[in-house]
Amino acid sequence: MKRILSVLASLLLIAIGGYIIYLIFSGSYPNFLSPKFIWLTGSCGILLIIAGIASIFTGLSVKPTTIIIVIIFLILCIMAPTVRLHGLSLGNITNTNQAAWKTRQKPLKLENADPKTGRLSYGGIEYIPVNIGELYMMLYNNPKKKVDSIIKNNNYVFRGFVYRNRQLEKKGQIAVMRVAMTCCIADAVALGFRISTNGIEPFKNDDWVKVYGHMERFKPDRLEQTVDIEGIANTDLKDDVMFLVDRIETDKEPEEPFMLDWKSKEPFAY
Amino acid sequence: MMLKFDMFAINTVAVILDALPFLLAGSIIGTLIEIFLPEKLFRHKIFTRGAPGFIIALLLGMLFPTCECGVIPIARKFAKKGLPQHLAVVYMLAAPVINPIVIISTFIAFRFSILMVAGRMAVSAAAAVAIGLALSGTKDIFRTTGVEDHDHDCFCGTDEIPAGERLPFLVKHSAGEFLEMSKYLIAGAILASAFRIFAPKSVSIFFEQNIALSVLFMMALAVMLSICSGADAFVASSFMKFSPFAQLAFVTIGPVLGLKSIIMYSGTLKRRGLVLIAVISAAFVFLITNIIALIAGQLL
Repeated sequence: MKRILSVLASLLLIAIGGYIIYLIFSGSYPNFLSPKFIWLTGSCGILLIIAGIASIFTGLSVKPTTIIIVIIFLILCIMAPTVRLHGLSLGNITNTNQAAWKTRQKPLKLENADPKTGRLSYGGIEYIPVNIGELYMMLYNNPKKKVDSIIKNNNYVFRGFVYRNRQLEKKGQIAVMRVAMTCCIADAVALGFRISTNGIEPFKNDDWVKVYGHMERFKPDRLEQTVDIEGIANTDLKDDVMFLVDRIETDKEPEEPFMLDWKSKEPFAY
Repeated sequence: MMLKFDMFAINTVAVILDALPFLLAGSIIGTLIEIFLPEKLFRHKIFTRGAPGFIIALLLGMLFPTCECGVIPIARKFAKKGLPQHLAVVYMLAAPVINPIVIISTFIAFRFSILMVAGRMAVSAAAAVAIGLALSGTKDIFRTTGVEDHDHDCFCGTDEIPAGERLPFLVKHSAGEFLEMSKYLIAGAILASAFRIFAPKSVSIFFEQNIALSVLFMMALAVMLSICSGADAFVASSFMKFSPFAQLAFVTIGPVLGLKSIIMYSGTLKRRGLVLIAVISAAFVFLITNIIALIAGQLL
C-alpha cells in the first residue's frame, strides 16, 4: 500500500508539471497568470516532472488525503477552460449590429502614429495612446495642479470593452473598462471611465472599442448599483472625471486583453 | 452559472499555479536547510536574549524572501534546526511582508507612498512580535507530523547526512513536503475562489463611509480573498473609495490570516498557536489601523 501511494504521488507530481507545460504550449496560460511569469511557472513545471520521475526511484511518503486533494486539484485543472476566453469574456467581439457604425468610422491605426511623438492625429487633434490604468495613475500619482493641467491640455486614445447597466443607461452613459493583472486572475482589478452615449448606441456589453477624447472633472456622482465584472476581485469606475468622446470606434480585442504593464510617461504601454 | 463555474475553476487553478513555484522553492530551501545548516547556529545565545532574537527573526525574510505559501516549510525547518519556536513563528508571519519583493510591490502599488510601505512593514512587524511574545516559552507550537517525521529511513535526528545520500534525500523530502503542503494550499484556494466568485459585492458601499467599519470590511475581505503578499497591494490600492487605513489593514492582515494561510497553518501549528495568531493579529491590526486613523485625523 505504501509503495502504491508513493508511486501515485510521483505520478501526481508529473501530472501537475505536465499540466503546467501544457498550459504554456497551448497558449491558455494567460487565462490564469500574467505571461510575465511563464519562466517561473514553467521552471516549476519542469522541476516537478523531474522530481516526479526521480521520486519513483527514491520513494515518497504522503498521506492518502493528500493524494485525494491533489487529484481534486487536477480535476479542476481539467474543468478550467483551456481555450482562450477572449480575455475571460471581458470583451467578446460581437460585431453583428455594428456594420453601419464601422462604415462611418474608419479606424485609425497605431501604425499611422507620428513616428517622432507616437501620437495619433485625427481632425487636426493630436491624441496620446495610453491605457486606462496609465490614465488612472496620472490622476492619482500627481499633485492636483499637475492633474488639472493633464486634464485640461491633453487628448487621449485608449482601448477597452464596453460595460452597460441600467443605472448607467438612465444617465445616458456607458463605461469603457479594462482589466489590470499583476500576477494572476485572482488579483485582477477592472478600471474604467464613464462616457456619454450620445451617438454611440450600437455598442453592446463586451464590445472592444477605441475611444478618442479628453477628460473633464465633474461633480462626484456615485452609482448606487455596484459595477461587477464576473470573477474580478474589484472594479473601480471613475466617478469624478468623465471622458468626453470625440470619436469612438470598434476595435478588435487586443492580443493581450489585460493591462500587464503601466508606464508613467510616453510612449505609454497602451 | 456556467460562466461562474468556469471563473471559479480558473480562479482556483490560477491561485494554486501562482503559489506552486514558491511552495516548491520553500520546500527545497527547507530541505537544504535540513541538510546544510548546522544545528549549533540557532542554538547561539543571541536567540534567547529577547530583542536581538526578535530582530533577527523579523529580518530573516530579507535573506529568505518568500510568500506566505513558501514560508511555512522554511519556518518549520528553522524550528527543527533549533531556532526557538516562537521566533520561527515571528519569521513565518513577518517574512511574507518584510522582504524586498513585497517592499517594492507595495511602493509601486501605492503610488510611491513611503508612508504606506513604512506603515505596512511596521504594523506587520509589530503584529508578528506581539504574537511571538505571546508564544514565547511555548515549546510545542509546531506539529511534529511533517513528512520527515513519518519517514524512518531518513536521517532526521542525526547530525549529518552522508554526502552520497544528499541528492536522494533532497528529492524525497522536498517532493514530500511540497505535496503535503499543497493539500492545504488547494483547500484554501478552493474556499477563497468560491468566495471571490459567488459572494455578492454590493455590500461594500455600506462599509466605505465609516473608518472602523471600513477597516473591518477590508480585513474580512483580505482573509477571504487570500491574495499572495506579492500582489495584494495592487488589489488593496484599487479599492480607491476606501480610506488608506482600511487599505493598510487589508495588506497587513492578508498575508498573516488569509483563508489559504489559516488552512496551511492548521497542518503545521498546534491549536494554541493557531488561535493565538488569529486572535492577536486580527485584534492588533484592527486596533492599530484605527489608532493611526485617529491620530491622522487629529493631525490633518
